[in-house]
Amino acid sequence: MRRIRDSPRFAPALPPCGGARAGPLRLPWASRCLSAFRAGLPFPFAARRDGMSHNPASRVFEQCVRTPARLALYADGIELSYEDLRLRAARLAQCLRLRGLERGARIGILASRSLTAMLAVLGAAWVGATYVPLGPRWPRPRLHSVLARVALDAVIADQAGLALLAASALDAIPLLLVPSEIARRSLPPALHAKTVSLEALTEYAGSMAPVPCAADDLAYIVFTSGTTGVPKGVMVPCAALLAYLAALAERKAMTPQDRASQFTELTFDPAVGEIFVPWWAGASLHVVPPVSQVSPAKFIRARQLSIWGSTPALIGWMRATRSLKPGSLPSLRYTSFGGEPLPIVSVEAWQAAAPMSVVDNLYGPTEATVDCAGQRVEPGAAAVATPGRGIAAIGVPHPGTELAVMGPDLRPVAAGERGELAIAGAQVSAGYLGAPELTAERFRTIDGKRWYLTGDLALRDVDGMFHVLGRSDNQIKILGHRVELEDIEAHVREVAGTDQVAALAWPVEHGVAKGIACFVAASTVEPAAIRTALRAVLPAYMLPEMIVALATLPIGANGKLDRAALIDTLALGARSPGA
Amino acid sequence: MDTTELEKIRAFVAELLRDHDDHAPFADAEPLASSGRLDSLSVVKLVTFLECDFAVDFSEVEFDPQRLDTVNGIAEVIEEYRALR
Repeated sequence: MRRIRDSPRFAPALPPCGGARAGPLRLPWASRCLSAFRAGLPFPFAARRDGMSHNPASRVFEQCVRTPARLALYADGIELSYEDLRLRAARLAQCLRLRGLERGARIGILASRSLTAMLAVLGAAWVGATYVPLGPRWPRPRLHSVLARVALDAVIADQAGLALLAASALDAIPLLLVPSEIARRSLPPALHAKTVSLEALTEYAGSMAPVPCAADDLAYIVFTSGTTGVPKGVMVPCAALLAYLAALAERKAMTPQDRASQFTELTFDPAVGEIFVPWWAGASLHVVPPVSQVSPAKFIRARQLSIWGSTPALIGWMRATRSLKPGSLPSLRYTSFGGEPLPIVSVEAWQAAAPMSVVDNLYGPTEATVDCAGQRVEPGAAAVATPGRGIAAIGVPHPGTELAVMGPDLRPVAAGERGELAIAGAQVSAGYLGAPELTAERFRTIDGKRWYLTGDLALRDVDGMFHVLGRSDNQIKILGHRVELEDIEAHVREVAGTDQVAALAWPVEHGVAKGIACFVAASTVEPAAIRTALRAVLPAYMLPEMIVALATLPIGANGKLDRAALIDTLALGARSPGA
Repeated sequence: MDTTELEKIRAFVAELLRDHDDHAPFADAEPLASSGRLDSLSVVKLVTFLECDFAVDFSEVEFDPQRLDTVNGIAEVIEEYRALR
């Protein structure tokens, strides 16, 4: 892959933005679009899109030109029109390009659910760069391990993200973009020369149009839990992203009147669909503020949202706070849930609260670009359930995607038989960053077609609907986050100083993991001390709620760790009085 | 609300922050969720804490997450619930 660092044009030592070089750029195509708009002529778009550009920002740009005055974004209490959005994204892209970043550059985004985060995603796409979401709540060692492997050309951080970057990490970042001049001045003076305030970008003309991208340019790299304790980066090409966005746009069928939510943290890939789909349709995007995350009913009503999407965990939270009242969300017409199994009881609770809304249960691994299948439940209709699990079936593949249930010989099995779910088609990603062996293990070419093996156990019923039955490995979903239990175990081994460690999902309700329990044996470290030490290395959602010390771990007849026996131990503990 | 109860809330909030490896001090009026120091999982834990340790019933008081953003706000929610009873 071509990296910006290899380019002679990469020049991190340029003067700060707004300097002598910041004159307006001549961009004939952008000017043509603008003058066509002003003259009421058809836009010269079609040739461009059919020609070569796979940039997801191109369609946003078209929309900005088409409906400049309409509301595009509400974030941090501020409303931006499409014209404002275009100007801000184009200025950011222009600044990045003048600093030497171009197609193929990698831009870290240490921001989430903020105006800065939204502009960062769009601005990075605008300049044809690959964006890499970084978790504003990751523990520093995890953040630094990702930074060390991904070699970023720039980082865009919001206020919360900036606080997380240690001085050592800042030194390694060639270019830093921060929300305000105040934030810039709060940094050590040595960093001022390579730091740009987003406020200062108003000096740019903002006439730049999105840079055309090739199909295999990477749109983003998103990191997910890895079995070795080190997160793995999934590389998603522009073509895969466009296929996904097109499928999602069709499911949501948004119009300029729609008002859609941005709920998901950027490190969780559904965020990319939440952001681009409304902007492709000329609808408005409303970023849910952090305080409304557990109970957004008030926000949904205040912003009159028509489109909602989140993890199913939200339904449980809203029920816990008694804020999911029947008929309380009448403005919603479409809701998607994804990231973890969707219990049937949750579908019913949501349908009662939002009686006019479709409930769409979306399924897919990050490796096949966010989601690639779904079951659409019309208002008032019952969801098709997966027998014995109390959860909704994952439905049928999106257009352009093929699903198959494979036997151990990697041949499709008959309808009704269990096997491993495999995915082929336009949304299958490029694999894992810097891990060709792992990529070769999970992405297989079978009879000339490239398949991603999900590790999900599944079956296809006689009606052609797919059902997920569990995992063939130790990966779990917790609050929508994908977690490899081995990832947790690797860190527990380290801090407990023992090899005998087992992490498991506990408790599990309606087929959904609610927390993590961990067993250790032959450790001299107290469970409480282990938990304290883990806080420094694991994100909060991966912290075991319970750590139990045993003399030895139970071993089953096959010589492997007996996880079922450990679950029995926990079940007994939960039933005993005072537990 | 007496000092012991306020201390109890502060101690619980400090524990939630430590789960994020956040050991920095916080003031009673300081926004915690809206500033990004606490995530949604923490707020859910906070709700459970209010229900279990302070017997707040959210079917009786309107749940407004904005009010759980500060230690002072949490104390007010508890007080308001008690006034209802």
